[in-house]
Amino acid sequence: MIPHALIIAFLLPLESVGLLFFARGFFPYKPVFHGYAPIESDTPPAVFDKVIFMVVDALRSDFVFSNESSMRFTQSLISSGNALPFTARAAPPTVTLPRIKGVTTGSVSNFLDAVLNIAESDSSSSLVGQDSWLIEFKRRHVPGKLVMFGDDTWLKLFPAIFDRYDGTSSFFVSDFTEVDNNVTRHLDTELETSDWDVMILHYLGVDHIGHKGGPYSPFMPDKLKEMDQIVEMLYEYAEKAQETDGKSTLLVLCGDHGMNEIGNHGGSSAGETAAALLFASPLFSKLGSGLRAPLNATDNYEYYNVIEQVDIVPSISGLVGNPFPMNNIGVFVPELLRFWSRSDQIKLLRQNAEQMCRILKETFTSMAMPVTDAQGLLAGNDIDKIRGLWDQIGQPYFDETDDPVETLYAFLRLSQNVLSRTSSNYDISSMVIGLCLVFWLSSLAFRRALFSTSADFVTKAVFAVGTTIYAISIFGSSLVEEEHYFWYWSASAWLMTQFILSARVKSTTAGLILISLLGVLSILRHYHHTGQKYAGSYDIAQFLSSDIAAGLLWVLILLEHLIIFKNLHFYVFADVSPLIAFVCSFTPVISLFSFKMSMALEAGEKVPPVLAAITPTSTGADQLLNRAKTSFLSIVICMVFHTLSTVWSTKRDQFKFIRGAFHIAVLFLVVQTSSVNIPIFLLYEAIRSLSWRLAADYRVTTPLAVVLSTLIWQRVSFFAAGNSNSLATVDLSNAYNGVSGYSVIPVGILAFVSNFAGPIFFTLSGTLQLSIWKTSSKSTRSVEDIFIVDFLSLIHAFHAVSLLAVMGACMVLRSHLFIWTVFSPKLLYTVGWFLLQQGAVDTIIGLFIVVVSDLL
Amino acid sequence: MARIKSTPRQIATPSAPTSATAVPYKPNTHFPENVITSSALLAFPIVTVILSSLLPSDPVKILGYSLPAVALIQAVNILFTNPAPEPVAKSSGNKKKKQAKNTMSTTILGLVLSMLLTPFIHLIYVLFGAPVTVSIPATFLLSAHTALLALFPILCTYPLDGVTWTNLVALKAPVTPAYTAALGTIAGAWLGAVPIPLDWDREWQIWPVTVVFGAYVGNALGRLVGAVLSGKEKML
Repeated sequence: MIPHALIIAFLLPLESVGLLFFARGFFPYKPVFHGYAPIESDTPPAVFDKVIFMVVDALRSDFVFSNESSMRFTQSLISSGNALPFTARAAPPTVTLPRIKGVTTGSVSNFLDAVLNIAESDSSSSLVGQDSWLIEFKRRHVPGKLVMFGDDTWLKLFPAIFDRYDGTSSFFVSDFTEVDNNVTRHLDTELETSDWDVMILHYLGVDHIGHKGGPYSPFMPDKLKEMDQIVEMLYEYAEKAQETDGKSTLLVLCGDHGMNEIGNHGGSSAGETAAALLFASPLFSKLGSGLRAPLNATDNYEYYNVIEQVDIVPSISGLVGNPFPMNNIGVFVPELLRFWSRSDQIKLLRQNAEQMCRILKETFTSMAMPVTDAQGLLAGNDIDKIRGLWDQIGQPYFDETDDPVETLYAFLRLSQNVLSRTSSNYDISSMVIGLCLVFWLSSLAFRRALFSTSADFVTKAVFAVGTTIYAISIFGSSLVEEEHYFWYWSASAWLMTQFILSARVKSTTAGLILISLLGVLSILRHYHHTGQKYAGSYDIAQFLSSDIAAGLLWVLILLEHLIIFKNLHFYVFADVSPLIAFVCSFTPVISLFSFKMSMALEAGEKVPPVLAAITPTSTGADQLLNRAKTSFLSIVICMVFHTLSTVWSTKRDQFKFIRGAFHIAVLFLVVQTSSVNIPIFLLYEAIRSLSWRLAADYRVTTPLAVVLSTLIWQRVSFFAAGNSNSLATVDLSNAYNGVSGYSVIPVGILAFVSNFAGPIFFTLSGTLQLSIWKTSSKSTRSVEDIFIVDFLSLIHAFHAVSLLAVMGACMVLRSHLFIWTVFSPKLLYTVGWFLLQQGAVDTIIGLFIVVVSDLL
Repeated sequence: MARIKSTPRQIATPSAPTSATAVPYKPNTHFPENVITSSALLAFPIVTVILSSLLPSDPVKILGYSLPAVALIQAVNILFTNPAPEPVAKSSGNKKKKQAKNTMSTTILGLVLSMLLTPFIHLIYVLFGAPVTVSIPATFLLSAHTALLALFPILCTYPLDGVTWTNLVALKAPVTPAYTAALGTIAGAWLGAVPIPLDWDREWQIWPVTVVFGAYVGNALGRLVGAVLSGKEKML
């Protein structure tokens, strides 16, 4: 037992070191040009003097353009020709920080930005020293004045650039109104003062509503109407400014990214990448676009012309007469060219091309080679084609050729395509060191799991085969996207295997339990349809969150509360007098219920009127905060009471501590679960009680079988709760329970617990199951021995091998098309599983509970 | 209850069963003596190829139309490979044992019974992850095919009693082609579900095409393995 513990204590940190080496090589900061674009002497005249850049977070294209949208004024701007609409394709990861980088610098994003987006305190992502269209305003002879109101990500990216600002934290996703009022309250004075050149507004309400209630949330139409009114207010200002002091103002309305059908974003699905984009000004009417609005809703979210989101950057720079930012790979939007004469158009595009050519020369050495056969090159690969086109553009009489604008666009589009595909420079040696280290350690762990644990041939065979298949499956991009199928499939296989074993010992009870478990599994797999292919198709969660099922949902939630109450009553407060036990177990449950109820009301979910009536109606951020704190406090009190009562208990009951701690932990897990997912806990409880019964039949169950079941249920419950291997499904809606300000550790822990509630549940349940098995089989081994030798060895071996496989996949497939959209998120999830679930929960907390329960 | 371990010799020398518990089953293992067996071995790969090439166009129609044909092939197969008529079943309860029936009635009874058990197989498919609310006809026809492939031969080969069937589930029953074909069908159907979620965008990735294909291939392989194994046992 002790040597086993020491070996895991040796393997875990070393594997983490290997992972660190790998990550350092795999996620390098993308090489960017520092410094600024040269000031061009001969730029076409500026069309606009001022820019209002209004970002509405997660403003998907259909929110503005479709006939189901409530943004009537904005649509009237399009049909009257005063605005040019586009669908701007956002490059994944579709989260705010990388997208803001994209729409300001024009560069493709770095995957690590997606992580830094969550680690809000990080300052390494700042854009100090990098060129952007904002900085270009500051570099004018008379530096421009910049103001910013909204998401504080802008302040983090551009420290000390804004003359006036008011940042809002973007992570209180339960707040729909305050975040936007914080922005709007500045508008009156700012529009009055009007001394700025650039005003940036970043509204977060739409994104928050999406996270809470999805794109069709009842709050969405009103919020979009509010945004529409702000567009109207800004447009009227632009009209007035034009008339009074002759200053032309460009209003840009855009979403930083879209959202998928359940209101999340981060991945690369059509809905997440389709952001709305609108250039508006009274000046546009003379271009005569002749577009109509609104359009009929489409499934692919493509409205009007589809452009790349980075194209915003050169377009704004060109329209205000600034040079194009150094790292920009955006292409000037063709529709906007019509402001200039033909010669100015060519001049502008040529500057765009020259700027992009600087990046090409830096990235591809072959760009510098002299061109001998331009025609031959045009038939070659993309780089050759770019060289051929660039040669044509450089010819002395280029401007007089048939269609110079067309040639310039061909060059720009192809260059953009090639540059956005180019992956960052990996540090291969660092990756190899990490990979070798993890390979060595994981093979050690795997061998130990097979040969140094207790005897059980069948489980070991299933484990070895299953782990191998899993490791291989990681190399297929769609198998990563649809990983849940692997787990549902192997869970049924494992239950079937146990069923055959139970038939061999003629245990009818065990057979019936396994059939029931299969039944629970088949409900779980339809609770959330996750992954890519069938994501968003009708499932139990959608049914439960629909209006007609609100009553059923809350009956199920009440039922789960009742079970928690019963368990607390019997297993935590068993020793005290009935009245005290009732009050003590009722208090945490009722505070949990009222917290969940207020949260649901705050999020605009439909709640049965009877239940809403008995809950105090004074909702609001403060109220919610207090209720969450009350819940947490009651959990702490329960835990303290339980520990003390175990210490002082006269009866010797080895299960008492571990069992009570488990039920208190479930209370905490439910606090961290959204209302639609609370009924899953009924299924978890069913699996738990069935498994515990199974563990009592020692002829069918072995410690290793318990561990393998735990491992499988952990994964099944993770996916059944709606998680996936895409960053889009990270649920942050419970990450701020009871926390009033952003601080990494509590928010991180709460976010982890709310996403890994199922796996944590089954770790604790599995630990308990081992003690039940020990008692029923009258084994001479201690629970600690079983836990360390069997549980930790097997769980650790699985996670080590899966880490190795994911690292291997990222290494081998590093030039794969999906490396940033599928494999990198998978690596991040694997790190979460490996370090937090396996390292912190399975190993540290599990060991703690086992050891403490033995001491008490 | 003593564990029953049948050897091939025991099977080859049939004795009148005194009670269901003493000699619980009497599998007929006259394989692969006649030509028809080998032609039956061939029939399924052919059916598999035809079915799998036609299936993606309209699974429900093809599965429905092919069902009688598959039933016929299976029935012929059983009729000719189970030459020695044995009592099929000790019917439920304590009724006195029925007289030995001829192979024909055994086969018909087995066919009817396996068709009656189709809803039960449908339920098992759902437990293993088949769609619940959509594609119900497809799943049901898949279950009917599975019943014909896996259950029908077993019902005609093994008696219907608890001990025999427990042993069948426990993988402890003696090897016969009917049994290995059933195991092959189950394993094939289970493995057949693997390609469905992949993003290859092929027409055959719709439910239940790959599962049908897997079941048929598994059935053919299982039958082959069973024929070889039981033949070997006979020679020992």
